[in-house]
Amino acid sequence: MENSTTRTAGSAFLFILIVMITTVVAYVVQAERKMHTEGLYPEVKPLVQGTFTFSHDKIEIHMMEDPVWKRIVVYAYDEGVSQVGIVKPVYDRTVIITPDDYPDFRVKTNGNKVVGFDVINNSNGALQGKSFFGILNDAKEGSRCFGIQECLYPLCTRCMDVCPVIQHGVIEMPILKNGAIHPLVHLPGCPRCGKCFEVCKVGVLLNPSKALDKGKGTFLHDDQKAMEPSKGEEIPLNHYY
Amino acid sequence: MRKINLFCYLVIAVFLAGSVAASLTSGYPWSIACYNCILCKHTCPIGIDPYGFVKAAISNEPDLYIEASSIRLRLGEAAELDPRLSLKVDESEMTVQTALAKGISPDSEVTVLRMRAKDAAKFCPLCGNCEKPCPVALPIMKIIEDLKDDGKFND
Amino acid sequence: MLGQVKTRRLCEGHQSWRSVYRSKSRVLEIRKVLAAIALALFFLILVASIRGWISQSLLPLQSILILGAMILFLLALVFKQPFYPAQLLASTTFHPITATIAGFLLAGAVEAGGGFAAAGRILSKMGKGFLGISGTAVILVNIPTIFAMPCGRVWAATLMPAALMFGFELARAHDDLKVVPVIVFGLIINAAASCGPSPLGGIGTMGEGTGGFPLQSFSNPQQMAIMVMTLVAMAVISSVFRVPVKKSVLPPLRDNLPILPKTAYLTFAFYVVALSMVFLIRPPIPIQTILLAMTAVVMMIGKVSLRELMAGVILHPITAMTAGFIMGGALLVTGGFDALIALLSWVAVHSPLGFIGVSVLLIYVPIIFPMPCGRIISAALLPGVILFGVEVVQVTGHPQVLPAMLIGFILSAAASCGPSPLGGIGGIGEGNLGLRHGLTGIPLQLSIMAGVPVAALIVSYLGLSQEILRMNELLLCLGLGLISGLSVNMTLGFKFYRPGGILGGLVVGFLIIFL
Repeated sequence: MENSTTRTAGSAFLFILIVMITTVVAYVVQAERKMHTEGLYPEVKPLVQGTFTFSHDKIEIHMMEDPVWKRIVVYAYDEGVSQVGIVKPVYDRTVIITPDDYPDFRVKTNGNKVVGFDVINNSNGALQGKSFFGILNDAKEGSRCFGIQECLYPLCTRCMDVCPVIQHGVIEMPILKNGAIHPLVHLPGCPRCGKCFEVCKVGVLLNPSKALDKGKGTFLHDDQKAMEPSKGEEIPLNHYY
Repeated sequence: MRKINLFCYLVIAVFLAGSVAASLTSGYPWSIACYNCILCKHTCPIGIDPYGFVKAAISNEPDLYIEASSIRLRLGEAAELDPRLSLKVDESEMTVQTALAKGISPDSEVTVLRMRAKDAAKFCPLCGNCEKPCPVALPIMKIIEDLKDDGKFND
Repeated sequence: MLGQVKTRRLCEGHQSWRSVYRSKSRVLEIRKVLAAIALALFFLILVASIRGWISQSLLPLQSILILGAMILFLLALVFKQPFYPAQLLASTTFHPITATIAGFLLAGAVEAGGGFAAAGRILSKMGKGFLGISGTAVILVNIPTIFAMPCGRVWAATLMPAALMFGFELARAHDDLKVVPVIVFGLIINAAASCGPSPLGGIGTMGEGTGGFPLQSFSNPQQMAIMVMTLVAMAVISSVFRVPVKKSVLPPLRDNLPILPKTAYLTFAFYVVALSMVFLIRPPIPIQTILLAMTAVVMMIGKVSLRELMAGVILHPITAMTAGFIMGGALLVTGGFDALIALLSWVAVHSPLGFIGVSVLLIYVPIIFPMPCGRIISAALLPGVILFGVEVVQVTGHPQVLPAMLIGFILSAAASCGPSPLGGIGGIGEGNLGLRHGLTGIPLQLSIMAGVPVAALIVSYLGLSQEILRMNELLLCLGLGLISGLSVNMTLGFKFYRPGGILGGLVVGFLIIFL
């Protein structure tokens, strides 16, 4: 009786051990050990440009080009040094902000780094707060940064999630001088696996064979650092590194 | 009375079997494992309720209406997409048909409240934010990518 | 361009669109009538079941709910309201149904392997040790909240034999049968409410998700409130609502208990260790998968056959929940829940209750109309609670009102399956003790009424946090554990300062915060 009990217990624990070993082996076999060295570097599309026209009942933004996703993030900084953003559709390279537009998310910043974010969802009507039209006007009055960007970071982190060497900081998301968040690729560390531009659906990280503005993107060469953002400056028309 | 009771219990059995069959047919049987915790709801930058996609997969119904509260588009584009799409116009809720009947211009921008899952999938930027808080790591983006292609499941 | 042409053509028939608009208003009126009929029918079904006007032996609650749902679908067709079967599937939550099935399979395997008999022996030994009977009792009745599962029935069904055995021993020792329902229904209300704070897809996560609050921030306040609910239920049943238990339910005394094989203790040990690991690690795997894997291991350890396994599955709660969800789906399709919110809003505006008074009423709606599963009513009414919460925030200027209301409502909904006469968990205890169906509804409802404000007050004063260990929460929890221990000491007829009970309460308080 005792022998059969011991045998049964032993077989149960052996079963659990086999499952654990199989899981570990399967995980190790699946995990990539080698980095691809053939392939292409991603092209980072230059920061999108636009001109703002303020009037009492609307704000018009005229863009130089149509975004890939047909939508753009319009952002403005509030007094709490947070970037408040709204996702707006683009029709005929124009975006219109009205007093009925409420922000979609808030990004918390610390210097030129993003430290967190909140999605402001008005699906339950509880979290509406101030309209984005008001926030944008306040930013202009208070000489704080505002503008447009295509990248959805930190709400979207797909390029960083798929990058096999992200722990070495190959893709960075600094906050630029004009307050926009735009990817920065550290070329010397990039393994050219091609995953980042495959997953970018907003068209900021591009396959170089499809990029029109080749070589004009935001790259880090020879340990150059990204510029510190500063407030109260006019939006530059062209912004390249 | 016994026959009525038997019939009712059969309805329950058919309902449970039907739900499993529907989720298998959609190609996403794992959607039944959803905890219904709705933690994914406040993660979408454009206000889509990702749980709606899971519900659509469970019921194998790409035309299921789901919440999509921050998608903005022109009324004309909305009418092309779905005349029964639910919109927010001047703090009140109405369908596209009603908005057009009230004389609102097709070029004016409106905010969506509810739309079909297959239509919402078209607007999704596939950022993956909805998968991050899921306690059972459901691959919600697989459903969205499937619907994005042709508006149908598993084709 | 094509879109603009198309819509211009649509607008050209302006006269026809006017008639569309007029007919839309008529449709809205019809929908309001249908919603009112749906709500009235639902109330009628509930009251008829509670009052016993429809005998459960003729038409059990599953049949009533299915027939009621069919009437509503028929009415929707008559009133030409569109609906399709997918809406019904989409409105059903399968998680508690599948978790209950998986839980019952595991419980059946552990039971067949002798695990719960071993648990009974262990409890008996603990009762004779330093913890004593009261300390062991307070730990036993709070186990469902410490290891909170997505459906309380899993714990209610598995711990019921141990609770009964323990209660009978205590009844023999004190020659007082009243202690049996005290322990049984203390366990029942604890198990019923435990699906609220469960990190494995409990109702609390629905509130966190819908309201946009941090993950697991609702858990600790709910668990502390459930401790209070449990001690109130035990105290009320012991001193106010005397539950008449017949002597015939007491099993015959056995001088020599059969020796349990070591596999029984091994089975129980595996069950406890595996569950503890799940709560500590919280792997991103559905709990159903984990429970089934545990079932397979227990079957191997305990040499359990498939037939013995299936005997552990109780179909009644599963069918009751499914029937409840079908009825809930019918109410959603016909707008019955919208009608309830509209009614409450009207009362808020036109009566002296105002929004604050009606909010209190709304929080207790789940126990006024208790369903076999709290998720049915919570999924439908959560948006309404948020609506009222926002109004009350604006009226009072106190921002913590919204999370306080949400947590109160969720706890009320979670616990409501305990006293529900429509196949609630209370029926498990009533059946085992040979009591009249629905007898313990009022004491359980009273305990919920007492416990819900505790959660709301904790959120109001301590706020919400995702942190596992906050000093103020730990101190409060230990304090409530101490009160629990003191109360159970007195309820079971001992001196209030009996150290075993106090230690048991402190252990419960610590484990609740830690796990």
